[in-house]
Amino acid sequence: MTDLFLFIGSRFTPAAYMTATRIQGILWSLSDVLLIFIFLKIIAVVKGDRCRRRLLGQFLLLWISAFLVLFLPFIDDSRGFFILESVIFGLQFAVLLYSVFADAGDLMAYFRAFPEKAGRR
Amino acid sequence: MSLLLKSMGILWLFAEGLIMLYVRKGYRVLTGGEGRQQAFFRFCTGAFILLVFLRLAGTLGMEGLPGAGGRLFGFRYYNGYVWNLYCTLWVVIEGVIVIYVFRIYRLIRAAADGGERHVPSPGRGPLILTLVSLALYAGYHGHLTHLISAADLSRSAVHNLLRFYIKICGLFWILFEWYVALAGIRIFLLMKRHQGGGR
Repeated sequence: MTDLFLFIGSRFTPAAYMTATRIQGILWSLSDVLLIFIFLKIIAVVKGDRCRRRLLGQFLLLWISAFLVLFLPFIDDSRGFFILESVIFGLQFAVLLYSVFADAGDLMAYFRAFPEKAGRR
Repeated sequence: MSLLLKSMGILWLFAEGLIMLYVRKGYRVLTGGEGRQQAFFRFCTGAFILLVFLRLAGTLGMEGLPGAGGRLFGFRYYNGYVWNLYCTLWVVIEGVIVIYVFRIYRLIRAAADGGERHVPSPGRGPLILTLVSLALYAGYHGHLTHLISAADLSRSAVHNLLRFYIKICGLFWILFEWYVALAGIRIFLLMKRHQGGGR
């Protein structure tokens, strides 16, 4: 174990760290975009035509964050990467948190009624 | 800008923790067992306050107090250790979200198939995940602390090891987030199929 630690300590340089960070950052940012997109689609199913305009606003914020993901591969320093990731996550979390406060009640009611609703089919 | 960046970890932890609480609540609503939500909420609030204190203590100790000399409690790498604890907790939170999303999907699927409503047992998955993750964090950083003095590690080697740990956590973030995204697609498709009473 000690040898492994010493090996990593000498080989996992800041350059290797940035390469790994870039690859991982793109992968988890893409998964976040997909995850929030599906979440908003679920909200749309639950809410129907209500608050259509508001959902459009949330989708817009999501697409802006997705657009910013395109710049991640071109950032070379960890501080710049962290700032861009902060902006991307900030937009995505804002979308999610708004829905947590605004839509949680409707979502819970929908899921509470779902077994009966599905059973009627 | 610097303060904003330093508080970013706290904001992310808050946001992910809140999402986890709501996913858990959704599961409880489906199983009809909402009673213990308040106790869990209080536990999470207490843990969050403690974590904020740990992070702020690092900021104050490293920069705010005169004569701190870049150390806190005599330890130079305090901020790195706390940041890695945050990374570990993001793995825990996302893992717990995965467990509950998986259960929610099973419940909805069972209801949609018209079968008997299957309620999975509460399970110790979240607790086991938390304990294993914290044990791995403690083991990794305990060995690192030992090596700092025993093997006289250079500062750059310590930073490399601290960063490597973040990348290990990153693998789990990616795995868990993709799982939740794909499970979300399946839940969405089930909901679409039953939209409007099955028309």
